[in-house]
Amino acid sequence: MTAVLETTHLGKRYGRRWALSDCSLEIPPGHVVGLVGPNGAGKTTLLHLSVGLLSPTSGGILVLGDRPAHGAAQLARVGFLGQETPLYRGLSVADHLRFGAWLNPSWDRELAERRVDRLGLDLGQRAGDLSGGQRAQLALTLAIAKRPELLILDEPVASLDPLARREFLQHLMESVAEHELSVVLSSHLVSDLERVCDYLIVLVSSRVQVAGEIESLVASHHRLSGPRRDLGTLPESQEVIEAHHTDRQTTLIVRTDEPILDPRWTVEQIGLEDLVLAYMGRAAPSTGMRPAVMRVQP
Amino acid sequence: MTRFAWREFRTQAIVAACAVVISAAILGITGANLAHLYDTTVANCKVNSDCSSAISVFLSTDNQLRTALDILIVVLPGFLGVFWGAPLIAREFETGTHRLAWTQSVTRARWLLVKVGVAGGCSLLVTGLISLMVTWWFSPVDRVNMNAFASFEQRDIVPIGYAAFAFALGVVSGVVLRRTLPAMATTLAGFVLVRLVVAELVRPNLAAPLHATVPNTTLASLVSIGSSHSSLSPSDLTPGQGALPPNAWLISDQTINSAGRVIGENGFVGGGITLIPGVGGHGLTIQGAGTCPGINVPPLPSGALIEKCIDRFHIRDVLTYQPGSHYWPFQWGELAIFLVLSLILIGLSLWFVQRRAA
Repeated sequence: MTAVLETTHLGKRYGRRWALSDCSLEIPPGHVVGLVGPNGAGKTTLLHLSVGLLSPTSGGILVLGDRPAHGAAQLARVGFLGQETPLYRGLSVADHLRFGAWLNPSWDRELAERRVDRLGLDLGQRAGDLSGGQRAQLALTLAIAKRPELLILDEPVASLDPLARREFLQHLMESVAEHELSVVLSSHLVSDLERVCDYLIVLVSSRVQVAGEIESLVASHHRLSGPRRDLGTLPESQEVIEAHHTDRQTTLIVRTDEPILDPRWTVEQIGLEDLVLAYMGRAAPSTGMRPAVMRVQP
Repeated sequence: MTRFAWREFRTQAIVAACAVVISAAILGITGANLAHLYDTTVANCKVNSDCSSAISVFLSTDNQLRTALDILIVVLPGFLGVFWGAPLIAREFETGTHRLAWTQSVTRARWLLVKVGVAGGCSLLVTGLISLMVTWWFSPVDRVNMNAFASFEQRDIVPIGYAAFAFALGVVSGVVLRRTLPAMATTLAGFVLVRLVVAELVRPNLAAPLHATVPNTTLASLVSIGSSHSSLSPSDLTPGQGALPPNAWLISDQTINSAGRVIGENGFVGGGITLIPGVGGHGLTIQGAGTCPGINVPPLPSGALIEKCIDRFHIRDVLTYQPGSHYWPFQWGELAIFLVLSLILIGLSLWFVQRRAA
């Protein structure tokens, strides 16, 4: 099957600054993909590149097997919900539904009306007067009723309060289940993604640190703790993601697909959040993000 | 997309439609009165053999409305360019709604062209209708004035070209600058600049002008002892009145001497005519031509003497002008220039929107 998103050495430069560089990815279809990374990591750039709002400076990108925004047909296959969910402030909710219907041949009117009805949105209300949560829900309605194959959401819940956040993600998951969408969703909060995603990409400093199905990522990462020791003595199959030493003890987060046999280690499962933080810490040694983690003493 | 473009533009379109209807009502009533006044006074003034007073009464009617209409038709195209053209795309960038629009199933090119088509089309239509009404309203006045080129920019079809250009300039400014206010300011400045360049440098050269050599009749009464007086031109340059044919557009007026050398322009002669007082003085001197030795001051020379002096040096004026018959070719020519400029600007906007990052 065609990958929903496939990039090869993708890069985007603004002036002299690379917002994204050498990004190679292949996301299989049928997943809800969480794109996580600190602010400024290049998440928005990557998502804008995939919906064709930006064009790459270098490398290539294919979305559902075609160039992003390559003609009306390709535009129709990808739904997008941007950061701050821009809407026409002066136009009413009903106007927005008409906007969706007029600009999308595949518009599912019944679905849109059902959703707006369920959300309790007043059709006559101006978008500018809606609450943040309502705006996000209306924008999600526009993106879903377009009936895309792939839905891309850029920090959709960043500006929402916890209740609106939960409701939004719940609606998103229902739609995903109902319409068998592939979804790529960015956030800097792992807890949001943990609830809805089954595939994870960690993007730090414009580079992809790790990508894969969450289940197998969690299964292959372990926290090892034991007496202090040299990292050079570890088996080759164990990739050290994070190392933390005290005078007596060494704590590691390692990635391995093989069982850990060394009896000196106490092996623990790690949560998604710790896993993500470990990759973020590894990728950003110079930013001082987690200096305590990074100090590796020989 | 077309329906959405209409929905976005609905408020402006309704306001504009109301303004056009109100203007039509006002101009319809007052214009009919003006036409009636013309028919009853100026048109048959020869019967009463008092045309000058009939014309002066007619020309002083509805003065305020005339001024208002003159301003309206001058300002309207630029106004629409600034308030409709510039925000059309710039506002989308400012509010981020371009990201919403560009991720629907419509290409950016189509999005831009439809928006431009709807709002720009309205802009041209409104300007065209207002210009049509103003032209009709002024028609008796223009018939009396016989000076078609004096109101060239305010009549007939050229305002449509200006409207197209102002709108397209607004759109491209918005696309490039992405901010409404700077785009509006740029539109206004660019529009005024291009209009001036075309009016001053392009329009006079749209067709080869005609020339006429006419006698110079300086008003001798203006000459006073001991002073300089520089005016030296045909007595009346109003088209249809003296030296110029009706509806002609005077481009230059050069005063030449017997040798054919240019000694002055537009009635002004270098150092002018100088009268030097004192017995045995130089008398009457025309700079660039010479001195008439027979005239001594004082006493103050009579007008006839001064004219004789002018005749002696065979001083004439060469008038360069565009005849009234060039009016319509010039209207079409200038319309074409501005329409072509508009198309170029829209093409540029299209190029920018397609390649520009969001």
